[in-house]
Amino acid sequence: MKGNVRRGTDEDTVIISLCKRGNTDAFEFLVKKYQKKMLNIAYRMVGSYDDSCEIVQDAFVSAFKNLKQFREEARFSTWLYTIVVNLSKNRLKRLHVKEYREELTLDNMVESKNRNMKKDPISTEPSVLERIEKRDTQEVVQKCINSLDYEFREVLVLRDIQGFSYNELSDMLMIKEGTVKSRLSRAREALKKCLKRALGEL
Amino acid sequence: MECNDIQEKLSAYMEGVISDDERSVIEEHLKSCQACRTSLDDLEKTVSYVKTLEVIEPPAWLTQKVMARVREEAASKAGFLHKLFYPLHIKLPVQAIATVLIAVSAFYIFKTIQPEVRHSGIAVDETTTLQVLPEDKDVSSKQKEADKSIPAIGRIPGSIETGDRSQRDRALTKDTAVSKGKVDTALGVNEGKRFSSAKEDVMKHEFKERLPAEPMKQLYRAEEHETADRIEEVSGMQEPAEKQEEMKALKEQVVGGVSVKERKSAGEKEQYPPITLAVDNLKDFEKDSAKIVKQLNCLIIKTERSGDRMLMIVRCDEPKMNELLMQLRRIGEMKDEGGAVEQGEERREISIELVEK
Repeated sequence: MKGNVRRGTDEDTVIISLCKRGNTDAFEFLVKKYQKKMLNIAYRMVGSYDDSCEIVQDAFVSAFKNLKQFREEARFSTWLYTIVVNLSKNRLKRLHVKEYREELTLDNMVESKNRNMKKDPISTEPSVLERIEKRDTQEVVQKCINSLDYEFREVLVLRDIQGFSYNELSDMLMIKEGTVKSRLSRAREALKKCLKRALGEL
Repeated sequence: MECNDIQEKLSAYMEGVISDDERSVIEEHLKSCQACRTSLDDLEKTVSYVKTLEVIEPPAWLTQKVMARVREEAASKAGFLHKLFYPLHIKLPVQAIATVLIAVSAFYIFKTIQPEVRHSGIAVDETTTLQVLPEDKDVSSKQKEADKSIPAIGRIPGSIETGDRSQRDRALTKDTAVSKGKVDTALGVNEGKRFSSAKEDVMKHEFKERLPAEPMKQLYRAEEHETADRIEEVSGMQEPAEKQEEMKALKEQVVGGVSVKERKSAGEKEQYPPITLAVDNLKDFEKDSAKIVKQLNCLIIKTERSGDRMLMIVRCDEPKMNELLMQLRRIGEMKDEGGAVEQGEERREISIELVEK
């Protein structure tokens, strides 16, 4: 994986310089090369296919706009993934704010607090999953990922799904490696609990 | 180590990102702790679940959609770049010109504002001139009215406007109307016209110069010479006298009592008689008065010394004038209060005449 990324970076340097000169065909090459991985990151982050498609589009457009700001210090792929992670996070934040506002308008503070507690993903998960006739593990896992806070989600997605190194995670998320480690540990623990509840047995 | 501490580190242990010491401690603990072993097992299973998640495929249209937006962006960016870079060569001089323009306009604004500031400093002069000015206007406008009321017959020689002229004559003065009629008959129509135009000129002259009625005769004569081509001869000695009367009447009509009085009062305001102070020593007084003036935020405009006398003009804000006078009384003996300041009077300048005892 790492080797692939490195080799890709070397290739990318030439292509990126072409892109910086406004060559859109060169950029198309990069889109084709990275869209799949970007879509997978976005999808595992937000849990919606349509949303993740939009996020990927936005991320590429944003990357093209800000290509001049990209310095060769980081790998282009890492830079792209950082964009997609940030856009996914922003969408989650927006959704969260929206949900919170809706609750506030519907109920008073005390009730909404109670609802929040009920809505606690880990405790609600079984009831949600009961409705799923076919206990598709894939769906359960994704739902459990969705139940995590986005700061846990991103480390889990980037490390356990995408296989980035601790160092890369530290660069992308701009957090120390120690923080990556502890967040990852807590993310895995939370996911374990969720899966146990959902599947009964691991 | 407690199970909790161990379990916290199991994630790192599982991946081998842990120090050797910690690893050996955990391994030692795991041998004896079933719960922690289960915990590690579950953790590994969890991660394997996550890792087995399918890789999803992007829709076929994604690349096209992305590229459509990117090309759109590129097009607008190119336009933007053109706007940004091509006029850059122009923009720099534009900025330079703008800077110069701002500097120049600032300088002119400063220049135009500054005199106003200075003016406010010598507000007294302004008010006095202002008081005089409208009066002048008043007179000149009234004179214009008078000019209008007297048809310019002299300018159209040969035309017969007896009716007009007689009307004007009536308007001038009733007392002179009779004698005027005589003149008319004596001189004939043409002569009368010429005479009236001459009279007009005299009046203009008289009002412009504000001459008293007495040298009217000479003035009339001088005027007569000036318009000698029009007036060959003014018959009879009674005519200048008649004209004098006419002039007086006209003058009263035109200027009116009010404006004359206004002028008089304005003149009075301009020149206040100086306050006379007797002091022991002029030099001492100069120092003392300077202090007082400074304290009261007043300003010495002028000091004139001649022998044992000194004239000092001080400008003060009106409310401080009384205080200034009181202070002055302390250092010198007030001999002549001059135009003592009355309450509510807006006087800002004072002349003080100093006499050494």
